[in-house]
Amino acid sequence: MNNIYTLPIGATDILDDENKIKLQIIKQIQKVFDAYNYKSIVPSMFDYLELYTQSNIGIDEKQIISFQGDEGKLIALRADFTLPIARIVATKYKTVPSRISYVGETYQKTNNMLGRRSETTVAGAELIGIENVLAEEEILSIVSTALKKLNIKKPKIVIGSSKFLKRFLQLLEMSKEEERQFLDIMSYKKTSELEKFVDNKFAKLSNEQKSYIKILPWQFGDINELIEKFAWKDETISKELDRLNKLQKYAHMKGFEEMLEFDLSIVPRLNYYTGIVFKGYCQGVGDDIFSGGRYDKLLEQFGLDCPAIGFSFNVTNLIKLMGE
Amino acid sequence: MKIGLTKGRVEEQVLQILEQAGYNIKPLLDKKRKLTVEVDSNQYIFAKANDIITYIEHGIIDVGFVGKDVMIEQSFKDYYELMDLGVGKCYFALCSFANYDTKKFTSNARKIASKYPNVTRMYFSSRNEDVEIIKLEGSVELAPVLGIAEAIVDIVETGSTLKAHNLHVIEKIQDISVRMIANKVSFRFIHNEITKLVNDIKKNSKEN
Repeated sequence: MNNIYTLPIGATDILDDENKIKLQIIKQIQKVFDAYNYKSIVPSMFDYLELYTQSNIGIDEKQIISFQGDEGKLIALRADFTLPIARIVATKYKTVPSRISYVGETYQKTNNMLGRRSETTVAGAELIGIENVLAEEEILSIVSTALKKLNIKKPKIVIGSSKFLKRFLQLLEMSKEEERQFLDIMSYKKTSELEKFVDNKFAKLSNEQKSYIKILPWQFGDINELIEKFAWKDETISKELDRLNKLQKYAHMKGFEEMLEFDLSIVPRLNYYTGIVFKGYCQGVGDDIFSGGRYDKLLEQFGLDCPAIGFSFNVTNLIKLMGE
Repeated sequence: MKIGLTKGRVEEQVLQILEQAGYNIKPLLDKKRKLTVEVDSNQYIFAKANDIITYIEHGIIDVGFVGKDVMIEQSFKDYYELMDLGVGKCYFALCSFANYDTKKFTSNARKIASKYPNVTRMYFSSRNEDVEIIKLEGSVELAPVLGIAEAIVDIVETGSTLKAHNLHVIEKIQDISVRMIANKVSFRFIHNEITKLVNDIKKNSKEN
């Protein structure tokens, strides 16, 4: 096979028809970021691999494209924007609150031929330095405004909480192995195993509490129902559920409550999330079209101790939707 | 709703379960060479297990019935595993001749043959043992018999194939059965239909 005629596995060209759609999508999203006064930046395409592999962030190192640089250190092709932006805000802007937006490509390895791309276009925003729920409200406001501008029919914003889950695990007092099993059951919604697990491991809980755990992966929608059914008394969880409730009320006031769906069984993939986590879906795309969350402990690792929340649109997936 | 079924034994077992749950499976039994059939408001797709998972990944189908063995081996795992149907029960096991533990080896890493290299790697990694994995496509019992490997990691059901080659189960690795998986987006948008399917199957299996 002559290498100059074909592309490596996972690589694609974007021709003018697809590019037209891509540029339109980016234009609409950028308009919203500008309207909310987010500074548009372009982090370096290259960072030391260590940026992504440090402190157990949860990014799979095997997925990152890296090479040995001149200094002998490993250099990575941009795999994520949140980490480089955390580095930039902590070391260059150094002030909070900071509002940063970006549009660009992230790269990952595709070791097989299952239709996955090695390059993904993303467009996102990070709101750094605001601890209270106003930050969640602003971010979701940006998301819903962009979704309207993009004319996406009936999108869903599925919201969970890393804070709720971490505290809930503490309340349940399980061993490390039991926790691992519990989180596995929750992330995959393994209902068959959940029944057995609850009956075996949580014999000491009340019936109400056992019922709650059993329905948790299937109980989603209005946050108030979730709050009502929560069968424990805990301040951390109460505060977090209250925050999510405020968010739902805000969405109601702004007219996008219909898009929201709260699911407290969500297990965040990345370890840097400390509070709300959310993903967006719409019919016609088999994967999420945006994702984000709060990460209050990340910038501390770069020397700036402050809260942060952000999200990004998967433009590559949006193109699939619009392309029809 | 687009429902994927793994062709072959899984298909037979799942169709029986669907029939018991009150679903009309006659058009599915009469499909002859067709790989996709519409019945009532569902489209049934018949394919190999790996492909069902690929279709789920791309959102081409909403739910799929596949064996846990293929699910473990495939790298894509971003779906919901809603049910264990309790059929197609078998298990992964390390198998070899009876003298496996005591046999003297000439190379430093044991050669293990398997159709499931990922499962094999995970198993030996959990035992901190360095092995050389030889991927085979099938009839893996041949490997120790022909001498290309000292042992195999394979699926065991009755154990009769092993017995026929003088092989034994050295250690059981993991239980396998047929599972129902669902695309995450589908789960959010056609939640009611998917839940109904799960409950129809569950209700009926309780009655049995």
